[in-house]
Amino acid sequence: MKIELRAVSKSYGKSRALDRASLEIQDGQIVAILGANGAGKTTLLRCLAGIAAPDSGDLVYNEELFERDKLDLRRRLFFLPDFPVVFYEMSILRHIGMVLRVFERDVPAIEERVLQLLKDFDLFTIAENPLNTLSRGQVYKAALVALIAVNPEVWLLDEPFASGMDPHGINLLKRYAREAVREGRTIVYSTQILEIVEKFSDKVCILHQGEVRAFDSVTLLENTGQGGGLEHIFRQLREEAT
Amino acid sequence: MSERFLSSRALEARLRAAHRRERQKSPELLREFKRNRKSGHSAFARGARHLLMPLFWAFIFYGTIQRQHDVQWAASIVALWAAGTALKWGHEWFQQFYASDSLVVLNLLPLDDRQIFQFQLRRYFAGAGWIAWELLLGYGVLCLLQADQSPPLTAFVIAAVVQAALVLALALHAASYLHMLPLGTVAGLFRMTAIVLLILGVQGLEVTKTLVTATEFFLPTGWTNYVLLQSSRDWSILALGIPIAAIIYLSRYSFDRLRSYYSLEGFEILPGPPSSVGGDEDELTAASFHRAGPTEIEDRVRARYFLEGVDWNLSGALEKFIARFLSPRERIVTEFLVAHDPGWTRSLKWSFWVWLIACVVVLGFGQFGGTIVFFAAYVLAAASLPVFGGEWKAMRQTPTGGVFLPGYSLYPVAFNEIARILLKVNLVRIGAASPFVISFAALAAYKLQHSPYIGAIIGVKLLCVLVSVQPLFLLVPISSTTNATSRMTVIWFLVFAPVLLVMVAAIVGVFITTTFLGVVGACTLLLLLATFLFAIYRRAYRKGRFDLLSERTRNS
Repeated sequence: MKIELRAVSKSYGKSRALDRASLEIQDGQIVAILGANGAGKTTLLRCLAGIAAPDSGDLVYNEELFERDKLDLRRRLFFLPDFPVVFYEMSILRHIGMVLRVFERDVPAIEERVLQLLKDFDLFTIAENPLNTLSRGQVYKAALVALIAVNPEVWLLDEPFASGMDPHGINLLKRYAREAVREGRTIVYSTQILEIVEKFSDKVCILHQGEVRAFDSVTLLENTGQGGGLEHIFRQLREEAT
Repeated sequence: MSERFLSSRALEARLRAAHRRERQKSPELLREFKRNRKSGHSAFARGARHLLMPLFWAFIFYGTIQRQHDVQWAASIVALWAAGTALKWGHEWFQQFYASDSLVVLNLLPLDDRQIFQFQLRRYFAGAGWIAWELLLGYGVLCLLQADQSPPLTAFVIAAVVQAALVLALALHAASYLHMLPLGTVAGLFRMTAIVLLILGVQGLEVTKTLVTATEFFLPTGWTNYVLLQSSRDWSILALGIPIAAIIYLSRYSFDRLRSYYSLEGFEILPGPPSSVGGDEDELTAASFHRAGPTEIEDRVRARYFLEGVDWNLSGALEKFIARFLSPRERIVTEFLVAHDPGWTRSLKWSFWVWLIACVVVLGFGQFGGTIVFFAAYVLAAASLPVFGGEWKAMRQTPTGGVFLPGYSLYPVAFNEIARILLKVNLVRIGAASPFVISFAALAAYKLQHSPYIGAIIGVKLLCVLVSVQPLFLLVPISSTTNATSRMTVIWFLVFAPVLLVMVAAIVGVFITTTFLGVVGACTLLLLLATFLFAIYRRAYRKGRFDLLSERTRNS
């Protein structure tokens, strides 16, 4: 699904989190949102999910203006925050079941997919345990399994690589994300880890003080970084700010 | 790390001065600093809220009581409210010292209990200090009511100051000696009784006199008012100042007791999922102990049991009845909103027992005064009537990314769906609780020497008001999870405030009027105004005029 941000601005009090941010994300891409702390990464993802309300500008999915009550559209997106919002008294399975039903994806044979995911993410033997008995990484995995089971057209992930998941979980996330992209899904995630961005993204959006400073492929951006790669661009932005 | 580090103004001033010097060296840096400076939670905004909200309520209070011109009655309302405030701050003591989020941070620092106590004490008094402002306004209203008579203005100011000191002293006594009681709930009871007294007084019911007298005799906060209003006639009444002074003076010992016993040893203070704190322990224990084997889990998943929702037919009678009015999609959303545990029949059964006990209390002790009747009534109302819609777990907020997100904001659930479900469930639950309310009101009226018929009518009126304001009540669980109020502009306020005022007047109108048409008219007006506010809010929600998150801290 094609995503467009048209001059989106968002402020919290006097502080401007997004400043006329414009983006056009084609389907079948992995887009990394990169930026210093407070650059507006999470706000951008929240705006895309309809949680934060832009002060101005438009958010367009497949030429359709986003509104909170457009359920058909919202069922095609899934936002996973860094700390998942779940009912902690529910078991992993109950949580996944509930998410599938609310997203109306309780289709035939979904149980086989869920079984496979539970086994892959090492959640199978604890699938009946309440979420409040699990570690942070396990809760994130449970929420991620629900997302992958729903198989939305747009994955919005806030700091998935700082979510407490073990290396196995992180590798699985990458594997499933790549599979999804091959099917035409769009994945937008935020991170601070440059090494991950370099290996796990088709395009990079660099945010600086709420502005989109760059939006291009990793290779192109690295070329503009005068041999220093993304790190050099980052250093430049920081120097500019100070 | 010393205590001075946590509270040293000198050090903070030095750090600020150094920061100021550094940023003034460069105009760019200064510009950047000003750009990034946040004002969302500034002391000014907090102060303005503390200043303006009591003013708003004082305005409503004056508007309501000036019809009767009975200062004794009005003073009783203030006394009841003050007593509630004292207990509330007794409860807040434990929230601040044993359950506040800041303890999580403080516990990670090398501080002992004494240092943590000092830090928390400052925060406690920063909040409790506003009691004086609230009471000054309350006594200001009494003074306006008494404008052409004695006592003079200075007497009211002194009474407000004494009352504030008394409230704080009572809060300390309550925290020190009554900590085993549910102080927060009892505080709510007192405040609710004050509102009930206000409504009954507007109607000019005889019973208010009983309640006023009970307040003057039994509540220390009532003594202050008794001295204020009666001592000019009989100087001996000033002697009541002795117990008041004693309560205030002795609070130092309660404070010393609280300080010397303060210890966090044995308290587990860890940041964790908020819902795990209030979870259903039986359910958790059962789930934790039953460890299904791998084959069992596989079989269950293949049987798609995890995709099954609530079996409405096997749930309680109320759930089964409500389900008849829900479409298949609404059932799924309802299951999500209540996290698979509606519990409405359970709460109705609970209401029945509360009703039974309330009836027994009124039958057995009703003749001893209105206070008992109204406490019983309040407990019954709180237990039976889903005033704000009961517990909707999807409205719970979870801390994530520096803000609090409600569960529903992340799922494809529409505003209209939520509102429709809340409305249907609330109406059925109010209907189910109505026999309790009407029969209790009739019984209470009978015990208070009135016709049971009049009591039943008051019960019916209460239910009519509840139904009429439902559109507004539907917004409460939603708006408490958004930042709509903090983004409220002057225009919004100018629309909302007058409408709310007219609604308060209409509620009073429902209870004053004696004709059927009058009740219908006032309820229709209420319904229209509530629907108007609902429509405005719904439009703002759909158009994205506010965020589905709140930036508040868990304790604020």
